[in-house]
Amino acid sequence: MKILLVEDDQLMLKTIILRLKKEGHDITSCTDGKEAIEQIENQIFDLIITDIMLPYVSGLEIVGIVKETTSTPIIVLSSMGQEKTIEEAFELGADDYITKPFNLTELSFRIKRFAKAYELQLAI
Amino acid sequence: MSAFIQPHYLWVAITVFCILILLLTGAIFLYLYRKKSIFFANAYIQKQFEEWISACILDDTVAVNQSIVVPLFLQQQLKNVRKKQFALNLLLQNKRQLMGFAAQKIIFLYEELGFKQYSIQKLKSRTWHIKARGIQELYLMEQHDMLNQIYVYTNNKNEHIRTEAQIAIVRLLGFAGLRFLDILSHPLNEWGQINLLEQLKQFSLTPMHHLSKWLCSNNYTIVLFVLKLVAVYQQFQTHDVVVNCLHHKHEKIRTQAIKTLARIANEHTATILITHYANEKFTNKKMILEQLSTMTVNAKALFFLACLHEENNVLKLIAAKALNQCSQGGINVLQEKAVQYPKDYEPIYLHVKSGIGV
Repeated sequence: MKILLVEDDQLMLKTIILRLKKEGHDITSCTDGKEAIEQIENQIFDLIITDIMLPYVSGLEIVGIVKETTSTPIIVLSSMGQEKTIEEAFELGADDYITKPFNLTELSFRIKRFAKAYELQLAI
Repeated sequence: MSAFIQPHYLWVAITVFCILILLLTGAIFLYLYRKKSIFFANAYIQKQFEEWISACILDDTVAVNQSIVVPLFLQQQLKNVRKKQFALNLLLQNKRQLMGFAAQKIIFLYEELGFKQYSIQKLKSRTWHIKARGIQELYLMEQHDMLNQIYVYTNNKNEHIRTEAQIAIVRLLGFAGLRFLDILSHPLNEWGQINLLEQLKQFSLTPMHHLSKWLCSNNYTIVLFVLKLVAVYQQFQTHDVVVNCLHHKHEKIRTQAIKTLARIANEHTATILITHYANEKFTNKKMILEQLSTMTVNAKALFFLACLHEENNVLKLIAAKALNQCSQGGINVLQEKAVQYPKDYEPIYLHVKSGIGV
């Protein structure tokens, strides 16, 4: 799967990239929302994983922009106690969310779920 | 002529001024140079460390507690205290965001890289913020063996050390960690209370046997915190002890007791609050009216009706709103009152009718 990963924490970003690359995904990464929007405008992704708190453009804004024009699935990474923000993300069209701290295996499982749907779509 | 400055003094002033400007420029230059070099050093260690650490965390071919070889360049970098702290911060930051195998690996790295000893040194420091930092690092890295050493600080005279230690105990032990309330003689500040309630959310509820004892504590901040705890986790068994808190000398405790009683209400609670209403001042009268309006009791309509005769207009308005909420004919009663006494009740009636909040 071609995945766009948006996370401002460098170490976290590298850890997730390594993990997802190991699983055979093609990863494009950004550390801020502005850069993510540019990537979304220039490329087509099968899945977007975005943090909520990002510099320049927030994760919620990214969800809104993406869902206005495409149906690309989005997984939102949120922190504990951001229940209202998660609701907002779902209202904007987010497909799933993971609360930090999270288990990398859990993230992989959730991506696999989207990968299955993606493969099904391709088969059809 | 004497009104003007002497040329000699003018030269001295210019010289002093120039020297000051030079000194200031030099100081700014040195400061920026130092800042820049720290920035580049941090960026260097960040790059090196991040790559190594993320590879280590994800290496699931190696068991969590299997010994690791730290690269030589990293070992040398970690000899520098500032770089060591920077690397430790990176680990802590990642630990806050991860769970499971990766988190266990981070803890193992923390121990293997000698950061635990570094945190213990901080814990022993005499400077409060270093000590607090040490406590924070130890609990974030789940160092259960440090529990006793941290526990002694839960009643420390320094507010920050105390708060960190209390959070640490709860993070490490869950609800059982609240046992520090038994020994706490210093105040439990508002921030600490919020923080503890937030930490407890991560744990599944286990029986809290000392709630009644804590609710009778001489330390009023403990009573306040436990009242919040009782409300959040709906500890119905404490109902009667919470009722006693309605007579506490501190107004804040009485206010919280009213809120808590609404959360753990039984068939007698409404009557207790209605009876208590007359003994209270404005804030708590308002609170009682607000809480009663959320409780499902039939008899309260009469009480709200009686409260329409309160002198204070805010109380009148809350009572009117509550009456409208709990009784179907409430709005008609208000309308009648508005016709009979337009000066007093017409604005209230219109306010309730339009559905504007207080």
